[in-house]
Amino acid sequence: MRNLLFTIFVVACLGALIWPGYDWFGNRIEPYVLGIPFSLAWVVAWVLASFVALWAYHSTAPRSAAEADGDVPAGEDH
Amino acid sequence: MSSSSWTVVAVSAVYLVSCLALGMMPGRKASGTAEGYVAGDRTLGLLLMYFITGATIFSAFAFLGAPGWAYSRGAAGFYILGYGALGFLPFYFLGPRAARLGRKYGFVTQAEMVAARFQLPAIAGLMALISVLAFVPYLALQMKGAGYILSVATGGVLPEAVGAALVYGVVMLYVLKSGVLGVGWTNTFQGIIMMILAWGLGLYLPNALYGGVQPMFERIAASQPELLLAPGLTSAGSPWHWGEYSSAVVASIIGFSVWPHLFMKAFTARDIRTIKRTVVLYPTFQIFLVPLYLIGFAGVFFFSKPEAADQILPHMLMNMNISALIVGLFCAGALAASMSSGDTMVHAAASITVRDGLIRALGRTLSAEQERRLIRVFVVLVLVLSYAVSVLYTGSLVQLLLYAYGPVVQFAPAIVAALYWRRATGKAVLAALLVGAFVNVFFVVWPELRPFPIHAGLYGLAGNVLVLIGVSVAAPAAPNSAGDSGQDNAHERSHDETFIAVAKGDVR
Repeated sequence: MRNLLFTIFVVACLGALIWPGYDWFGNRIEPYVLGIPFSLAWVVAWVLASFVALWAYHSTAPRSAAEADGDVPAGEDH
Repeated sequence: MSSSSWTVVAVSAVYLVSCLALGMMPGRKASGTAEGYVAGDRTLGLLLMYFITGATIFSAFAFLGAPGWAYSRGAAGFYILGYGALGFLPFYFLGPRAARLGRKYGFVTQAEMVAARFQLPAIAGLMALISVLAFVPYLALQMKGAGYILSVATGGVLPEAVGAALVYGVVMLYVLKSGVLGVGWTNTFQGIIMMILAWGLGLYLPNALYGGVQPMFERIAASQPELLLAPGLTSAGSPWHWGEYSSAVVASIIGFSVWPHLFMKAFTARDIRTIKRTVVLYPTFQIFLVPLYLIGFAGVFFFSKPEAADQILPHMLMNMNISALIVGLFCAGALAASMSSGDTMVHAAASITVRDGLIRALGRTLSAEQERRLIRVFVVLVLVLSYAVSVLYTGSLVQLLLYAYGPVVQFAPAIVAALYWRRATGKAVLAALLVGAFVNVFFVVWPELRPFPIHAGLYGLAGNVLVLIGVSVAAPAAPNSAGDSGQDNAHERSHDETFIAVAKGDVR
């Protein structure tokens, strides 16, 4: 489930950053977002979304796998 | 040279000297072996990893190339930000696997790892060659950037070629002295300066020239809306093609993680958690490209034009009433950007040539001290070669980077196969790399022969993947197939299985 959701996000993100997703949904000048044209704000938003998605994916990793690597010290809430 | 030019140069010089001092400090602590020199004794923590990785974004490419493209080609430059969203993602999966293998077998480079999986040293040699093919244009880009900065800052007193030689002389000194740890601390220092500068100038210039960010964009939208709509323009000013834009994004996403100098971080990271966290944090660095676009767009209606589009930022700074101290700091920051990417790359290119090319592929046995010395020889050779390219090449910086990605993406199938696919064979990987590199070079030389306007590296990649899968699957899995005894094949199967199990973390 976790992997499926993340895969869906990655596909959507890629689609939104290249043709045709970018052209259809993100490629216009108005409305301006914080002063920058929508076409640029669109890309910025996907970069931020990607950070959030990655962070969520990372922090919901099964504990057992991470501990097996010795990469999560015992007791640390991860 | 005017007095403000002198201040600019003085500030830059002080900065370069501090970099040199910082860069040389940690060298004494790394152990004297090649492993210490190349992999920093596998002790880089999150902070260093973050800044080393982040500073690769703030190369001369970002500081000059991004404003240069925004200024001359508009939204075409957004592809750089776009690929950053997913650019490091593959490393989240590849990095930990490589790290586990590195810990068990002592790998330092990706080619070593792939060659060990397939027990075919020739792969390491070929990968070393392709790496150099990619590093040379990338380094040339950094040098050209450094040359641009010094030439504009000194009002042309220092020609581009001389400036580049000066700056890369400094880089050569500190890379020779202290290897990767020096690279790390220098980048931490530079990463911070670059962020402050990027945001400071990115907000200041639109305000000073247009009275704000939105007024600037509104003015551009009124007379040149095509600059604000993807896929932007070509360097000649005609509309760019969506195929070129999209494939630039895709090629960069596939290629980014397998850049040899970045992939090596899997072997230098302290632990797997550090690798994963660095990947998670990576998009946060990308946001710093936004002010660089603002700077580029601020140049659209500037009263004078620079010689090359990539010089737009320093050109504006030198032609406005801005304190020489700020301009000096900018020049220093951009030089730092060039240096901090350049040093990592030259270091990687040299160690790869020696370890993968000479030791692995050609079977030379070297003592640790000989290896260290040879790496230094190649540091100098790679720098000289790149310098020659930087002097001869006259196009844009971003285009140089796009050329560099062509060879780099060819590594992706080999690495994925080595880490995940049991059936892949060494011969298939070797053939696939050859085909991929050849197709890429072919379409770079004759771009008009491409059936669709898509990045040459992706044509290479398609051939690469087809050959890798085709040849691997065609190779009979049964014993006695290639004239080997059944026992040998049984042994090889178990080698592949063990290798992937170690990568997965099932066997340690």
